[in-house]
Amino acid sequence: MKKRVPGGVIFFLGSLLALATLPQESMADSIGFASWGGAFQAAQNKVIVQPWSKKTGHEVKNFSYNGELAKIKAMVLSKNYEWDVIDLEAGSAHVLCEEGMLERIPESFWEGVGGKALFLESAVHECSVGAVVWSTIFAYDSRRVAPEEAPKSWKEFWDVKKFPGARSLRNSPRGNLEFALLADGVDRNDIYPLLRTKAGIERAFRKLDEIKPHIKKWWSAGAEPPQLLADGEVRYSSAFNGRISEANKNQGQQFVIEWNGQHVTLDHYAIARGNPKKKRALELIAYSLSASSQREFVQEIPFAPVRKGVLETLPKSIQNQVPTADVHGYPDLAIQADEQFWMVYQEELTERFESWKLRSTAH
Amino acid sequence: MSQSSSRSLFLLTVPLLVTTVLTLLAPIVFLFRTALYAPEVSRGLPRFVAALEADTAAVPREEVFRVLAEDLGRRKETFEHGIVIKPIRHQDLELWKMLKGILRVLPEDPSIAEISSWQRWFSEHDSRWESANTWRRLRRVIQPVTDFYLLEAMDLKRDGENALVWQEKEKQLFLGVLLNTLEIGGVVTLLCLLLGYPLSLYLASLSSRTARILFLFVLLPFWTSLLVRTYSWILLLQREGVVNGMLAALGLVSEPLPLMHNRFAVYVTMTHVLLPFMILPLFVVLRNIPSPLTTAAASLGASPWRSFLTVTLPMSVPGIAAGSLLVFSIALGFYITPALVGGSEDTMLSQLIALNVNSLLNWGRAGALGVILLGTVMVLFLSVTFVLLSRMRWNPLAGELR
Repeated sequence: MKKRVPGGVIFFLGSLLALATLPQESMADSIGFASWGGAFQAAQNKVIVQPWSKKTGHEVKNFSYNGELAKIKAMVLSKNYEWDVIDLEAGSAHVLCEEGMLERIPESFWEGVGGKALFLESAVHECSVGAVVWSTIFAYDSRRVAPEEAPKSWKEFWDVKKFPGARSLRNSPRGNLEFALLADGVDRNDIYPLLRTKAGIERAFRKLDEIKPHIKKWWSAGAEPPQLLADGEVRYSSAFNGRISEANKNQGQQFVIEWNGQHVTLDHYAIARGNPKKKRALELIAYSLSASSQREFVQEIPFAPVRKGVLETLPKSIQNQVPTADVHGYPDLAIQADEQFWMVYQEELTERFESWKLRSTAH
Repeated sequence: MSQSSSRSLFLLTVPLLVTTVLTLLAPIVFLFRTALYAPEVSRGLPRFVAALEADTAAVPREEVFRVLAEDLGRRKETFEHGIVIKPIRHQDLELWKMLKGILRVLPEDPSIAEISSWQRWFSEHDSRWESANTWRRLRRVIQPVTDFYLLEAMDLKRDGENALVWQEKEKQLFLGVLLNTLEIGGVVTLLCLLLGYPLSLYLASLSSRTARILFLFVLLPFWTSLLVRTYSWILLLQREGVVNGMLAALGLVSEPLPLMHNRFAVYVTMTHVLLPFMILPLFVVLRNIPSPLTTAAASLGASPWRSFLTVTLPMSVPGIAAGSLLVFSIALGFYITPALVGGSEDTMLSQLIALNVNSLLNWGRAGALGVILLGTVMVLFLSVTFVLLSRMRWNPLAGELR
């Protein structure tokens, strides 16, 4: 060691290195828009984000995520807001709201967009604003199963004798408990009252016991079911309706959706609590609610609009692709997700579901 | 080396030290803190908690009801009631629902509301507020320091008399998953050792040029993303995948074998991903065993097998230990791979940690599970080190050569 580097310099460089790994402050003037990626976010970007950006001159940065709520909580705790408008599953939005992690939506916002009455009841919430209506359905590949030989209800989905083949369901109690009760012959209107009782929960899990040996895969990501079906890994799988349509449209798949017993829910837009860009974020959300962008959005991707009366102005061919079309038996054959129920019981039931999965079915 | 140069050498390690403290020690402290410390209630409803602690009656007097209403009212106004009563939700869902019920009907500003008896007001909304049982439970859940999450992470809970009991059967989860995790980690380590040892032995025997080229094949998968490797196994092993296709074409099977979405797939994929972590330390140790030792053994009449058992194997123990510990501890933290290729009974602990961190937002439970996992690894690490150290003393040859 001939030439000594002064210790101070080394320390300084080291600290700089450490600093560089810390998260950066997001750009002061742009808006961060976080959603689920894929065709869904592409549609949001085309119909809502870019036009709004052009109109107002504010730059919008797209982020995609997989519904991890920890990141949002961390933003609130660290007051470092990378995402300004966040697309969340309604259930998650309500959980975050309950925990005080979201900004409240002011009454003036709703007045500004023409009043709450113009929108679905399920789209109006204390901390979030409905984005789209979607549903969990089951689907199969028509190249492997002829539609006339496929199950037509959750009851038949459960019937592995008549409709043999491996199944896949979502790795969550949400939706599955409802489907199990429906398969057990419970009227759709009695599902949530029943699930609020101990006996109802027992009954749902007992019904799930029946199908468990035939569940090849408990899927977590929305992209999994189309893959499982395309690969022939399972014959029937529950899925998000948008993912199935997307695979049919973009990958040339010939999947068929069975809408009977669909579990209907929403995505909501929300703003993390304490975000200094709340006002601008609300402007972007308000833009998404306009009749024209709502109408355009349905044409991009088959999710139902949250604004009433929009769907009816579209051609039948488009109307019939969305979950809430009457050709799908909506609302008589659909389960409307009870977000209040899931807000309260999600945690307890998830724990029980995980425990149930672990135990072998043989009693 | 002069003193000043050793000082500047120390300064060189300062960035690493800072990074270690920031990225390793601080999170561990945070982990313990979230697992044991839930101050939201006592911080959010301070006057109520103080009043309740001062009141020892089975059902407290009017004053406690009044400050509870006022504290809740204040939090509701600032929209912080949810986060304040959250620990109660985790520990006692019924109690949480009772508080939610009160919050729903609470008048705008309780301190100026014209209510003569808050006690009566509470019990009119829910008669359970009159019961001593409610208050006994409430006294327990307002404590800022709690062993609840740690107990829960071991499938334990406290009953009405504060005694430890097992969780109800349909809620027992975490010990089973911990066992699963240890089993998967153990089997994967064993598989890595069985596959990695002969290969390392072979690589160590080659000239460094050839060894370097062959090492590329070991390291190549190392540089590929974990997800890509996992998905390629799905393509290989699934029902209509490459392996089943070949077996069917050869007429070896009539029905596709269940190779994917089960424990077998978890073992195969994780072993493939972790194999380099076993080979690298093993190779280094085996390479450094002086070749004259085996030659000497042979010249003294030892068969190759005997010379392996008495010379090579004992001297490679540090490599086996290092590789196994590395593979085992990394394996314990896996969660994407088992989620993608495993079946319903292959849940690993990190999956539950991720679930609690990301979707359920129960960081207390996630912290407790983290502590359990960390504790398990520590115990294993320390016992292996202990065994190894005592072995070194026992085996003077290995001790000297190191």
